[in-house]
Amino acid sequence: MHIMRHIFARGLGAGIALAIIAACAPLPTQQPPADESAVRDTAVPDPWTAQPQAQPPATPPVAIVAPGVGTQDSHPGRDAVASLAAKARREQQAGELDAAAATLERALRLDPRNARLWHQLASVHFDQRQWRQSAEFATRSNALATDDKYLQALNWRLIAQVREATGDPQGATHAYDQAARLERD
Amino acid sequence: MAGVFALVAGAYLLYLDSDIRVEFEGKRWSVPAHVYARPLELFPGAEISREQFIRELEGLNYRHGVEGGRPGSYDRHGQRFIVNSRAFAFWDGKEPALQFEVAFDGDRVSELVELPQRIPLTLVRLDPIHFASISPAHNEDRVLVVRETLPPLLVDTLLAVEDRKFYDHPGLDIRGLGRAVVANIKAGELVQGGSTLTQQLVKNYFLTSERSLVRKFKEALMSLLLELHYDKDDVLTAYCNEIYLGQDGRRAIHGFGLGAQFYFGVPLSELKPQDIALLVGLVQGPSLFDPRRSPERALKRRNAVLDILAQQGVLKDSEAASLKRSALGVTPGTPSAARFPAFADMVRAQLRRDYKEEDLRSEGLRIFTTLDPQAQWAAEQALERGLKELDPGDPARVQALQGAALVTDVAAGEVLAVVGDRRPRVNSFNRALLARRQVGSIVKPVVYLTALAHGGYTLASPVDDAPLAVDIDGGAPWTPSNYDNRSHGVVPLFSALAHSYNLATVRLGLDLGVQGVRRMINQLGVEEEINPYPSLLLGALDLSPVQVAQMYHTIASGGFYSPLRAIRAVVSADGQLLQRYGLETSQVLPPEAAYLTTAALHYAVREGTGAALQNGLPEGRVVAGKTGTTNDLRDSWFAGYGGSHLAVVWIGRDDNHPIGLTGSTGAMRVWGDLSNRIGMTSLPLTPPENVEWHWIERDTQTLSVEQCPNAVVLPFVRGTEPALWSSCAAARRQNPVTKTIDWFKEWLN
Repeated sequence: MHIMRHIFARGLGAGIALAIIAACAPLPTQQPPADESAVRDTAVPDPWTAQPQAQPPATPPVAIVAPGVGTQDSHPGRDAVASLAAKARREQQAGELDAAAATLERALRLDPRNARLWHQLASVHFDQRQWRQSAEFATRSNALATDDKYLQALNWRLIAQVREATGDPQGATHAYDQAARLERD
Repeated sequence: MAGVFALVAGAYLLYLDSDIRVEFEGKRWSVPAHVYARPLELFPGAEISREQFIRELEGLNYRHGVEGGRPGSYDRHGQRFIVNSRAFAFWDGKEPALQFEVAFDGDRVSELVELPQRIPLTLVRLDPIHFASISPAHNEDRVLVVRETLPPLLVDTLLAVEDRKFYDHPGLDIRGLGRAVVANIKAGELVQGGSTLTQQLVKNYFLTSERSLVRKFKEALMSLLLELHYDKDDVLTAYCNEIYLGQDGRRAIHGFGLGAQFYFGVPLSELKPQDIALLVGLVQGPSLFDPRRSPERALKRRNAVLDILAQQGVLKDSEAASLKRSALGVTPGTPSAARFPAFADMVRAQLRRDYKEEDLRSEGLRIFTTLDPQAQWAAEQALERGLKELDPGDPARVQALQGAALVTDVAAGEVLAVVGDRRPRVNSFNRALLARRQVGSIVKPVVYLTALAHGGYTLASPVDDAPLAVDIDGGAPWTPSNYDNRSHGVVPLFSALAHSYNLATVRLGLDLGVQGVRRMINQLGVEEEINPYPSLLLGALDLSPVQVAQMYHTIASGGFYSPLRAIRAVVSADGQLLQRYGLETSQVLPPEAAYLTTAALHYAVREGTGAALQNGLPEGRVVAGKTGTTNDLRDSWFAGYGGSHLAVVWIGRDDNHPIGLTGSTGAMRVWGDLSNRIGMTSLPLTPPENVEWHWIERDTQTLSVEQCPNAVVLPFVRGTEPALWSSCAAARRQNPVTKTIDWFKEWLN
């Protein structure tokens, strides 16, 4: 779990409007009691196994979670990435969408697991009316934004808009619901 | 009679005139496409070592000595460098020339400031290494120069040595010819040519070795005609782009721009006076005065030119004298055409889909690629050295052990390095792209991925590694066996993959359906008709290393398919963006399944068939990977990835003879060396949101705790972890409240 907290601290710094989020690390949750129907192993019956106690999920051992991209408090190229993200935003606002996309790809080369950059790329592709790519980038952002409910909600809203634009009102409603649910959390 | 003669002469003149004009106009625009590597981005914290930085500067042919502020120069003081970078026009913006200081701490940039005011810099993008040209069919290459960018000293030197009256004569210079004859007689050798620049240009256009009066006459007429149509500066510029200056294998070196690149590795603007003297001296006999083959003769020739410059007052006597003492200064020469031929191949293949061959060869396009020279050098060295250890014989012989390597990034599908031969400078059969070899066990992760994504399996699900016979239509049953010819009983799923058990894999694959596995291979990005025979489950499938890289890339990136790309953008000669090859992505797998597969592949490296690899990696580096070995040990594969890079290595023989190597004794060793050289970062095993790690007892596949014997920690999609506790774990959990508090304390730390 501790790695999740670190992921939390990752961000783009001042350069990004998205940075206004207040969230806290999720507490370890208690597991629900075992579902008897899921039992499918050959363990020797034992009084404890009959009524398992709640146990928090294990943390990957230190040997597995070694320092690497995405597990550090701050990405070493934070400022460089922030300056590129800001440049991309200026380009997007000026309607230079291809340039904005290229700048974001450049930033992603420096920090490939930055969920905000993927979201920004999704937003640029939305402006380019490249619907499918926009939704894919938003999905990719969500896959990386594991602790960032606010960003996830933004991604779902974008996906909802893509679905609206491509004539999928039902899918859009579902995506809006997802966003609303995340915003409540 | 006279009338007929005039008519014939007139027709002949017209014919010559059209010939020379076609040639002149045509040649002015025939420029090959130039191919660039990715530019190096420097920022505080950037992961690059001092040694890698030096290598990059050398690759860019930056020279020692920053005094005078000449762009393309640097000085080193221990961990700190002062660099005068070159200005460069990228398609997405111009980078100005900068003077900056960069300091290194270990493998990172620790400080980056602009000089002289020491203003902190956030990001500096260097100019990119030019590593290939796509040349016209007759193997000419050119770095086009325009009149304004010709260094004045080059023009002065050229005129002083070759054609003093260039700006005054009409294309021919009778008095100059006489003067040259006298000078040559006096010197006892050829020091001055008698032809004007215009004549030399014409001669270059119609290169023939024929020495006849008729040809001389034709040349003279054409020179006069050329000067009638074009002004002196046009002729001079054409000359500077056309003059023949040497040979690089099949590639002819034409023009001073390319000459500067070829002999000194720098743009024309960065030449020193003595370099200019040498280049102009070469005009008289590029082969005779070849500075690499005949350095003494070349030095003499250069100094003769410097003497002429002093005589004519272009240089002061003292200047010329001091320049004559300087070394020749030519690069030992990895001429750019021979750099990274395998990568250039891949770029060409991608370009051919979108451009006409003719445009590529003549329009002066600039191609910005994804090539990372650091990764490329690392891959070349790892393969070259690894294969030399395994097969010390002559690498050029037919029976030699051969290999290929490919490196990509993990996020965006950019190809960073391609090696297609153990001799990386040889432009031969590009095995990384074209060798289709049986993949063996390297395909197994796809079986397990299918099980995890669609089959309702977890990493702890028991799978049976007992012998089995598979019915084959119209044939004897297929009875696969394990590599060690033993059966391993019931094992957890992750362990069957980590240890590459054949029986468990076949049983699992048949349960899922071979069609499902085949579909998954296609989904991962292998566009190929695949026969869904059961033997597919053990890798009876021929793929090239680049296809294997594509397949693994989709797993490494968390289930997002991105087509592998070698090109970022194509720009026209005048700087207009023609095409951008942007990042594309599409989710083809649940991220959880990709994550779980990566965890199992990590166990393959930790305790399975790849365990020997982990010993060669730095402490704490976490990677995922899989070996592949084919029947009779004909192919040795390893494919693997960390947080930043993915690499695939293949070793085998071109004649497909057995090589006596498994995946782990061959390709994996090269891969380990490669990953160390590129400084592969660890896997970010940050789980997807609904994945949790649990301790599991291996033998019973029940929940366990860290302290119990035989416990292994595995990721599960939330709710799919085993429901039952092992007896050891149960006994130890008698006071669960205390345990939880202890755990909590640890967590807070």
